[in-house]
Amino acid sequence: MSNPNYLIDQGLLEFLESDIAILVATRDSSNQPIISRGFGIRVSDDCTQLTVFLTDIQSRQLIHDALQSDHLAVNAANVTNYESYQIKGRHVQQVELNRKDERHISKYLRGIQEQMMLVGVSPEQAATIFQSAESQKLLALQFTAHEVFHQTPGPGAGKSRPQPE
Amino acid sequence: MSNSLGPIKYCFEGVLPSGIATCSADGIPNVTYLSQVQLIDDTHVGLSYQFFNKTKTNITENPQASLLLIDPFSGTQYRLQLRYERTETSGENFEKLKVKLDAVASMSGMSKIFKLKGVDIYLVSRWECMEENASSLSAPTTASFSELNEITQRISQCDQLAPLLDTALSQLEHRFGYTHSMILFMNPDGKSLYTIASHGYTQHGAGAEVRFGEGIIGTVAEQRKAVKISNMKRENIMADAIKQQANKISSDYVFKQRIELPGLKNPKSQLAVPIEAKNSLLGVLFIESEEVASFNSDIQELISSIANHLGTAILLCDDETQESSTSESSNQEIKHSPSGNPLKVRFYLADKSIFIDNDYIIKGVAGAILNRLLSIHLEQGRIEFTNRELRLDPELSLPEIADNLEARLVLLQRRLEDRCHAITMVKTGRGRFRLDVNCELDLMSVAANLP
Repeated sequence: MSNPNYLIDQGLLEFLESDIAILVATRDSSNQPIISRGFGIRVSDDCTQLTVFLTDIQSRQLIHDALQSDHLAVNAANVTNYESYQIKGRHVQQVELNRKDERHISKYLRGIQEQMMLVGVSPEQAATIFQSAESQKLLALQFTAHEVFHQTPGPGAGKSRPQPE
Repeated sequence: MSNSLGPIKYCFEGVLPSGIATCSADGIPNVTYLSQVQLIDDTHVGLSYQFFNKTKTNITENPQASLLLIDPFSGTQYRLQLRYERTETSGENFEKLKVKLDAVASMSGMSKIFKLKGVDIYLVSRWECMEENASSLSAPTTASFSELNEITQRISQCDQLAPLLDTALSQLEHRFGYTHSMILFMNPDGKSLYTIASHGYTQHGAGAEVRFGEGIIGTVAEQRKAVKISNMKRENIMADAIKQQANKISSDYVFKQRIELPGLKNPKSQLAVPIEAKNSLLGVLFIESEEVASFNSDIQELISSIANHLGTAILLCDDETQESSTSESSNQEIKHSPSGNPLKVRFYLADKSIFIDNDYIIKGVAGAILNRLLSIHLEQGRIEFTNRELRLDPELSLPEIADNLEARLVLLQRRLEDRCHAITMVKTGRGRFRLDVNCELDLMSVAANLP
């Protein structure tokens, strides 16, 4: 098994904490997958833990299933060039949001809406996509990065990301 | 929760990317973005399968999937729970998706790798709205059948080709608000198209050619199926991402330069539909917009109906048996008074191209016709001509049956309007026209060596 310390290097850390589009998935006990939108990612100082933010209204079932199955998959994509990574997570736990998290989410929501407007999404549409994070209760799932994959569309998508030297 | 997809049909316009979650047999979830999601019927969706990947592996082990869609007009998100049923590698669903992917691939010079392998068909077991206070779906303005009737009626009233084409395009703006459009006709070689009419652009672009398979227009001509691109930016980003990935993996992939489509500098959405009649392709009707998602599926069907009607009307205009016996023009006198330096007209026999004062005008059949008209004018002083005499003229050797002669004359008329104001062609009736030459001519045939 890979040492999780090496999975998230500085470049990937900066990417994950930037204004990227986030999809989150898990599965229930019958392996029925469920997908939802994430509203920001934070990486712990030692790069071993990631926290993804979700809204209660959209992701109640997903959070329940993730805690039960202890499996999480997170896709992070730059909406202006589709550079994407998928992180497979284990040791999933729900954590309380702190002040730093709230500031990060606020900054993220502004940034991602600006990014989406660059690719043809109107301000009103972008606001609707992210409205639940502005108005609803936010929850946080923390997990350990278990594997990282390149996910940029094309013939190389799905290849495991090599560990940094 | 529901499983009828009617209420969320606009989510399938391909404006915003969709996400899919699958799960392996041993319980590892996977989440990624999708290239294309297609509405198959009221309870089924089709997902494009271009590259063998983890999603494909997972659904063969475990057919369950979860899909995230965004309504392009309201931004409302929907979650669909799916069950994989089968993969189609031919048939209507496959062809519909293939022609769109082929058009995008051609536009980005990636036809070699951007190939559709199949369409994975899923049953939608249920879907749910992910917003607590979702605004009702703000459906786009759709044209009604009464507007379709209006536009087809206007088309039916035209008995000459040029006004017919201009009416069709101007009606698209008047009835549907589409300000930029063009009609291209198939060349006799059956491998390319030429622009015969355009609307809303600063230049006519008459005579501009597109090869079969090139871009959205050439792909539609080749495959004789309509293509709609709802978000050009998104398709280009996706294509560029794939191109870069392919380059990293292998240098075997050779990419051609991106083919710039004629028309708007930054189109946001485009629609191209074939114009057919008597089971033959006549050309392509192309519309583009500076707005994202200007053409929903309902509009696409209406425009296709208009194109079919236009096809029949074009054939009727080409029927010269109905040539008017008298000229509708009451002005029979020669209006022009040649003056100034003679216009240097050169006819190159190699490809029948005409250059006027070293400026390219036209080639092929239309070039030969212009040369013949100018020769007769110089020899006999005539300015009135008929389509029938051109068809019977032994110097031109045109086929006896209709071969788009009227279209060639419209093209010639428009190229002269664009490039040479000293010579103009004016329609004076069905199958009749006048050639106004407003300066002296120095006409010469050249055996070889184009300038």
